[in-house]
Parts: sequence; structure tokens; C-alpha cells
Amino acid sequence: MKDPHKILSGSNVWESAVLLGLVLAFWILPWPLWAQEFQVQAPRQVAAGQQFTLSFSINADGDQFRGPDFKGFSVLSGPNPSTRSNIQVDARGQMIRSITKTFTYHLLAGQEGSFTVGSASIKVNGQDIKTEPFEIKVVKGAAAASGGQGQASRPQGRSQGSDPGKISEEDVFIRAIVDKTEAYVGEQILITYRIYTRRQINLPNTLQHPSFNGFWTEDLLRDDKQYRQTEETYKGQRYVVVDYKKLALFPQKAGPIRIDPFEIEVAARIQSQRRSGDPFFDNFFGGSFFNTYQNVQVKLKSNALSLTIKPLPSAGQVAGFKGAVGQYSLSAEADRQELKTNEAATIRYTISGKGNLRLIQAPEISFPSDFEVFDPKISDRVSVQASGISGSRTFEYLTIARAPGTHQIPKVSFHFFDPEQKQYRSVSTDSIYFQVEKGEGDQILTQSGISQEDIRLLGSDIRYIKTTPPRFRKASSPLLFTNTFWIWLALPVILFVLVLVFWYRRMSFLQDQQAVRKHRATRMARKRLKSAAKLLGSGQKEAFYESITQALWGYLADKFNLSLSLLTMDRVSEALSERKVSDEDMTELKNIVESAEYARFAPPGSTQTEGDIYARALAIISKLENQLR
Amino acid sequence: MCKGLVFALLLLVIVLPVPANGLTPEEGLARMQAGNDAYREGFFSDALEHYLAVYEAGFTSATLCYNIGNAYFKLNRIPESILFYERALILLPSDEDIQHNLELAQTRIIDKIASVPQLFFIRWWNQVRNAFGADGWANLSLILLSSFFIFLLIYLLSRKPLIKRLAFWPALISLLLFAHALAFAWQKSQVMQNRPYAIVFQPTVTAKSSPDAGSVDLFVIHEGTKVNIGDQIGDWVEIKIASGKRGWMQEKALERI
Repeated sequence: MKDPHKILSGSNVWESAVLLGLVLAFWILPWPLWAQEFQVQAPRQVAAGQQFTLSFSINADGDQFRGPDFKGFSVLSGPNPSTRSNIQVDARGQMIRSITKTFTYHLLAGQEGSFTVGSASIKVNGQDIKTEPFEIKVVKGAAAASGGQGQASRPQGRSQGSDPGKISEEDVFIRAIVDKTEAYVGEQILITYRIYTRRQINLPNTLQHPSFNGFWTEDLLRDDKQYRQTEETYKGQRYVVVDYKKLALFPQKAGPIRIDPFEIEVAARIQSQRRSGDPFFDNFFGGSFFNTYQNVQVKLKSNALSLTIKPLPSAGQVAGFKGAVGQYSLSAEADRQELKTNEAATIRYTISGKGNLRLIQAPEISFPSDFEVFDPKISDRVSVQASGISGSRTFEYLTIARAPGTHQIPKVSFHFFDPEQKQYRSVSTDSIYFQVEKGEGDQILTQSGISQEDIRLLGSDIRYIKTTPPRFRKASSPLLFTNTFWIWLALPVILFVLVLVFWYRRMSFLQDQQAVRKHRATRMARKRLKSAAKLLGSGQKEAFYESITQALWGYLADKFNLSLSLLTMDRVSEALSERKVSDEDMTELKNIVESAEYARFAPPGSTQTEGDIYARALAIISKLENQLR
Repeated sequence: MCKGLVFALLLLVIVLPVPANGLTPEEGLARMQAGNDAYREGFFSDALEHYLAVYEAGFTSATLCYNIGNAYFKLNRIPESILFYERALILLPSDEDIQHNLELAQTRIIDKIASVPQLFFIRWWNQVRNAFGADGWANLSLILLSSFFIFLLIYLLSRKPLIKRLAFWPALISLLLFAHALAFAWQKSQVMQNRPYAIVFQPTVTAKSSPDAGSVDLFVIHEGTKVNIGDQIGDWVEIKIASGKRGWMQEKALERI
């Protein structure tokens, strides 16, 4: 590319013409005409059994990628598309956008031979672009030896286990050892990658580290780079063993989890075998004395592991449980318990034990509301040992007392799941009491009496359950219009009717009696008067007056339906005035009664009065009879 | 003889035990107590298990529903807790604890639907109506009927005009109140039997304009929201939310109160 400014500096016409041309060219030239390259990146030669990657890339935004047939190879994964876009600003201020799309395959070479990979195609702006078919040679599988000479082949020579010139699978291998294959979420699993060898090997290189997805891991040999060698018998053979890696795994989710193999490379020392073709030399030096050694790189692959992670049981799970699994104890400590207002106290809660310590959250602590509390300082004292993680985690709270009095931090409980006992457990501390005295010169608003504090709401929660035993009822069956309801409804109606009937019956009976008595009144009075008339002139004065009085009183009692014992003159006059009996007659009645009573006890001899009283009684009765009808 | 028959019938109905599958009322009370103990210890899922065993055996009471609601709330299952608070409130509408917890639970759900403001006398009327549950009103109506007859008897049988006058008005008022209480009891029983209210249990539901999955989306409601159920066509129900909006949704996303 030439700098346009240099060419165009001649004249203005030139300049504008070329500029126009450039602009036109920029717009007219369609983007796809810019060189599109659909390229293949693949090794020309691979070893049998080797994994390799093969990628197709295009520098345009294509779609509908169609991959080729991979005959003779097995596809481990792919096509895996990836896009890289790049925007550049050139000297003219134009933006140049470049896109590279790549489709990657991971392939495994199978048998030896040479195989043709067909063409891949992709569509760019409606146009199919293809790659050329190409050939990949698969040669005999071999691991590359260091030093350029000699090849240590792994799989062959199984029978000749201890051939000093070759490294077999039985000579050097790595195993993944796990202390349990079934664990709860959060339970510690120890995993050890142990190298077994019968050869001298040097420090291994890690080729592929399994990704412990779904686990929180802790390297237990982190600080211990000195690999300790021990001896171990495995499958009847003695080996020198080295724990290359030891991890504590804490599963974070339930389900079956597969842990991929761990791949390392070690340099093993083997006797060099000179293939000089000189049998004499070989035989002569074939003993142990003059052996020469060389290092051979050997790839080792551990076994894959499959673990079953069980979820924590829901039964017995308490509200304060926050995922701690293991065995723990809890202690609490305050640096001072007697303090003055606005002084600080430090309270430490220490959880110690064995388990996923680093994942432990602070237990719920309800500080007194008059304490100002700062966020806790969390410090761990974790000792990573070969047996796993143990230690303690301390939550250190700095608090400042703001009001005097006795304050209490109620007991704090820490809940965890004990995978050994397979149950939830709780540990708790005692309550901590603080004696806070009023500091000097402090003003405490709550005691001033002038400004009252509103009641502070410290939180909102639902009200507690009702504990009084309930009266159960059938679900969705209201009382209304049930038999019970109808009976209770009918009961007052029936009672009402019964009372009414009873009442009216009694009333009519009483009224009948009254009518009879009333009707009888005159008759009875006349009868009594008649018996009085018989006594008239017989000299039995007392009996005469008595029957007169009786006749009068009896008549009145019957008429007004009253009992004789209740009868007084006052009541009689009241009853008579109610019935509109004239005052004259009332006075007359009174006079007769009085004079009869009087005459009864008067000295004898006034028979004339007897006859007179008899006539007057008769007259008043018939008079009253007329008026009371 | 007549009275004896009535009393015998009455006894039969009252003494008749509540039929429940598997649990006697005594066992129900024992399970309930076990649930209360577990709740106090903080084992809310255990408490819930006890309570639900009683509830599923066919026993109901406002207390039981309230406790179930509390256990669900503690387990952070808000839609369920709202459902049971509402059920408790149907049985005992005037209880302050239930109202408080329901209000608190309703602040934990996604939808905040402003209800249509009501005129003050309608609000008062509803407050009066919510003073008792269906059975409360039914019992009250029976008491009012009895008092009506008592005053009527006094009115009919008394000789004194003053007493007659004093008994007349209470009798009339009792009769009127009886009619109201009966009406309220009927309304409340309808709510209990037809269960026209429901709680949304699906995390997100789109209300449609017609009972058809392809129809226009009207609005979205979330779990825990209370809806009023209207018509029903197949699996679809017409719902009305508190703001008055209507839409159709599938019945399986709801749990009736």
C-alpha cells in the first residue's frame, strides 16, 4: 500500500479524482470480494492413538458450516465454533472490521495409514466456499523420547515386565486413590494421586490436571514439596510410591460426579540398549557394570473416578443451618464484660473442628440493640494435614456499648451436619452478659426525659404459632344449612310455639275459672245472705253479722278474682273505682262493712239494726251487680 | 314426647364424630402438639409434616391452617404460606395474628397489586362481614333467632303496656339482624364451598385474553398472588386480580383457597 498523500500532492484535480475513486471503490467493491480464506490447520502426520486438533478458519462471517467426513479418525469433540472479531481504525479514520471464525475438532487417530479428509464448506453471503481435501498420515504410535534417540513404547511388552530397556505399564504408573466414593454435599473426600514405580524417576510434570468441577478443593501437599518415598506392595509387586498430589475435595452439589484422569509425564531412567549389532560387545558389557542409562519421558494417566454425592437430608434440618459439614465445636469469649458506655468490647466466636472450615459462615448472633456492632473479622487457623483439613475459624466482632445497663448476648447456636453420624447436630455457647456503666461526660438521650425515642423496630417476623388445642371441623363444610343448623333453628321455633300454646291454655283455663267465680258471686252472696236472714231474729247476733260480712267479702273476692286473705278495704275501693263504681255506693259498702263489724261486737238488743243492715247489704249487692256486669 | 325426639336428634348430630381418614380427633390433637413442639425447637420441616398429616386427614381449624402457614413461611415457601393464611382467615376472619402474618407474607412476593379503592361504607360493610366466619355468622343467626322469639314471647304475653313496648323493638331488631347474619353466613359458606379465590403457584404466569394458549398476552403475574376465579372452560379459568384486571389462565397454575 502506498501512501495516497504522496501521490496526490501534485494537483487538486488529481487529488479529488483519486479520492472519489477511492471512496467509490470502497463502496462499490462488495465486501465478499475481499480475499476470503477458508483454511485448514491440521498436522500432516500424526501417531496412531494420538489426539490432535484440526481447525477450519475463515476470515468472514460465514454460516451453515458443514464439516468433512473424518474417515479413519474418531471425533472426540467438534465442531467447536469460535469467533474472533477485530476492529481497527486505519490512517484515514475508516474502521476496518475483521472477523475470523474457527471451527475446531479434536480428533483421535485410529489405525495407521494415510487418510483423506474431505472438504468442509461454509456459506458466506450466499456463496459456498470449500476447502481442498487433504491427507493426513497416521504413523505407528510412539511416544517421543527425549534426547532424540530411542523410543519408549508404552503399551507393548506387557509380558516382559522388567526388561531393563523398556518401561512397561507395570513399572511406572499413577493411581487415583479416594477414601470414599459416596459422600454428602460438603463432606470431605480425600483424593491421592500416587505414583508407583520400580524405576528411578525424576520429578514429574503435570500434563493435564482434572478440573474438579463441582468441588471446592484444598491442596493438602501445598507446602510440602519434598515428596516422601515409601514402599508399598501392590498386586504382589513391591513399588516405591510417592504421593504426587493429595487433595481434600468438598462437593458443592449432589449427583454423580466423574473426575477425569490425571495425566503426568515423568522421566524414567532406563538402561540404554545399544543396537550396534555387535553381539560380542553387547554380551560383554551386558552386565550391570557398564550399563549406560538414559532418560525416557513416559506419559502416565491415572484412573478416572466416579463419585456419588448425596444431598444433605432434609429431615431434621434446622433453620440456622448454613451448609457446614463436619465435626465442630463452638466457643465464645469476650475480652471484657464490664465496660462503660461508648467503650468497645471484642467478642470472639471460634468454630473449631474438622470439615469444610473455609466455607463456614458466621452463626446468627443477636446482639443487644444498644450495642453497635461492626462487621466481623474472620481469621482462619487451618492446619492442612494429610488426614484432611482441621482447625478453627474465628469471627471477631468489635462492639461498642451505647447505653448503660445489663446487656445480654443470648446463647449462639451453630448447626452442622455430621456425616459420620449422618445427622444434624448443634453446638451452642452460653449467654454472655455485659455490665455497662454510664461513662463520664456521656449524654444518654434515653435518660434525658425531654426527647423520647420511638420504639425501634429491630426486624419483622411472623407471629408465633397458636398453641391452644383447636376444635377440629370437617374441611369445607360450613355449619349453615346442615342438619345441626336446622335443628338449632327449629328449636327456638318449637319452644316458642310450645310456650305459646301452654300459656294460652293456662290463660283460658284461668279465665274460665274466673268467669265461673264471677258468675257464682251473686248466687253465693244471696246464699249467704239467706243463711243470715235465717239467723235474723234468732238472737244469734254474732253469727248473723259474720255471715253478712262473709257474704259481702266473698262477693267482692269472687267478683275481682282475688283471694279472701288478700282482700282489704283499700284494694276493694281501688278495684271498684277502676270499674267506675260511684263513690256513693262505695261509701255505702264501706259503711255496711264497718257497721256489720262494729255491730258484731256491740252489746245485744238492737235487732232493728240487724234488719236494716240485712236490707242494705242486699241492696248494695244488687246495685254493685248492676254496675259490675 | 315431641321434645324428647328433638333432643335425641340433636344429640345424634352433635355427638356424631368428624369422619377423618386414619386419624381420630385425639390423634389429630397429638400430632398437632408434636408439630408445635417441633416448631418451637426450630425443626420447621418436621413441624410442617405433622401439621399436614392432620390437615390431610380431613381436619380443619383456623389454628391448624395458621400454624401450617407459619411453618411454610419459616421454610421460605411463601405461596404455600399465603394459601394457608388465607384458608385460616376464611375460618376466622377477625384474627389479628393471621392478618398480620398474611400481610407480612404478602410483602415477600413479587407482585404488588394495588387493589381498587372502595367507598368507605363498602369498606365498613366488609369489615362487619369479616367479623365472623361462616360458622360464626350461622351461630349468631341462631342466637338472634332465639332472642327474637324470647322478645316476641314477652311482647305477646306481657300485660303491662310498658313492657310490651320495651320488648317490641328488640324483637324487631333481632329479626332484622337475624336476616343479615343469615345472609352473611350464606355468603361465607358459598366462599367455603365454591372456593372462588386461589393463589398462583407457578413462578410466572401470563394471563391470556381468551382460554387459548395462542391468544394475546394480557399481563404477567407471579407466584403468591391472590386471584378471583370466575368462569371455567376446560382447563382454563377466568381470573380477576385485585386491581380489577381480568384474564384467562390454566387452572393447574393455581391452588384454590
